[in-house]
Amino acid sequence: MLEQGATADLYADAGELARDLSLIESLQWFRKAFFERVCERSLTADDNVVSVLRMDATYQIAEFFYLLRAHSIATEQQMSVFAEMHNQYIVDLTKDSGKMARLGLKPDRLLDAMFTADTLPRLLHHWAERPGTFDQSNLARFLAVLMSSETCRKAVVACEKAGFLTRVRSPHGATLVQSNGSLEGLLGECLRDLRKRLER
Amino acid sequence: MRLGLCLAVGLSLCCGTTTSLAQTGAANDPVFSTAERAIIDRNRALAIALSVDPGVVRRILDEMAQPKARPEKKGAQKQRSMFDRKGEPSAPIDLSENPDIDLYLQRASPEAAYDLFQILKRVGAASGGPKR
Repeated sequence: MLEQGATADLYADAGELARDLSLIESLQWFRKAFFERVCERSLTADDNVVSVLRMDATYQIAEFFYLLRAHSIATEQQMSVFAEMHNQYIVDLTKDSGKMARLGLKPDRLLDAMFTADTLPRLLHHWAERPGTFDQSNLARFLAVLMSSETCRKAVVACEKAGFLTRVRSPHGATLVQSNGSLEGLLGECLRDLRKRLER
Repeated sequence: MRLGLCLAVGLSLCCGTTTSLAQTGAANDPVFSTAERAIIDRNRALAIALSVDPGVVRRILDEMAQPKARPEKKGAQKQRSMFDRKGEPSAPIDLSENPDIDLYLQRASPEAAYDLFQILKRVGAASGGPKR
C-alpha cells in the first residue's frame, strides 16, 4: 500500500500508470461484458425485463449462485453452516450501528433476514429435497444486505423470464427458485475472460 | 389510478408518518421544489399519487432523499416478515415510467458484497474448498 502523501507519485511513473489504467479498463470491460451477455442470452427482449436484468441486483444474484457452485456448496449440511454464519453475521451487524448506517440497514430489517426456528427447517428441507433450490423469501434473506426483498423478487422474476432461473409454487404455497446454471456460468465466463485479459 | 393509490398507501406505510415540517406550508399543504416537481413529472405513479394525497408524495420524496434505509413499520398489529409475503404485488410499478423510484428500490453496497463473498468462502473452506 502507498504511504500517505504519496498520491502525487501515482501519476509519476508512466509505466505503472499505464498498467493501472489497463486494469481499470479491464474491470470496466468485465461489468460491461456481463450485462451485455446477460441481455444477449435472455430469452426475451422485452424492455421491462431487460431493464431489470441490467440492474446490479442481477449481477449480485449471479455472483451468489456462482459462489455457491464454485465453492461446491451443495449439501444440506453445508447449507446449514451457511445459514448459521449468515445469522451470526446479521447479529454482528445489529451490534455495529456504524456499519448498519453505511449499509443503509435498520435492526428490524436485519432481524427479518435471520433464519429462525420456523424458516431454517424450511430452507434445509427445500435444499435436501431439491439441491440448489431456495424458497424465494430465503434467497432474499441471504441477499438482504445487498438489496431489498422487493428488488430481489423483481430480479428473480426477470431472470425467470430471461430463462436463467425457474420459479415454481410448492404445494405449501412457497415460491421455489432454482438456477439452471446459465446465469452463474455466464458470470464465470466473464471472470475467466477478465483473468485472461489481465494475464496477457 | 389504481397504481398510484397502491403506491400511495404502500409507501406511506413504509415511510411512517413524519412529514418534514420544514417543507410543509402554513396551511399544511406540502411544498415541492422545482427539482422535486421534475421528479414527480418523471414518475407517473408519483404524479397520480399527488392528485390523491400530496402529503404522501411529500413523505415519499423526503424518504427518497434520506441516505439510510426506510424506517420499518411499527404498531400493535405485527405484520408478517417482509421476506415471507406470498404472491405478487397487485400493481407492480412500471419502471419505465418511474425511473427515480426504480433507482430508490435498488440497493448496492460493495462492503456488503465483500462480506457475503467472505462468508461463502468460509463455508466452502469448511467443507474442503472449491474443486481443483
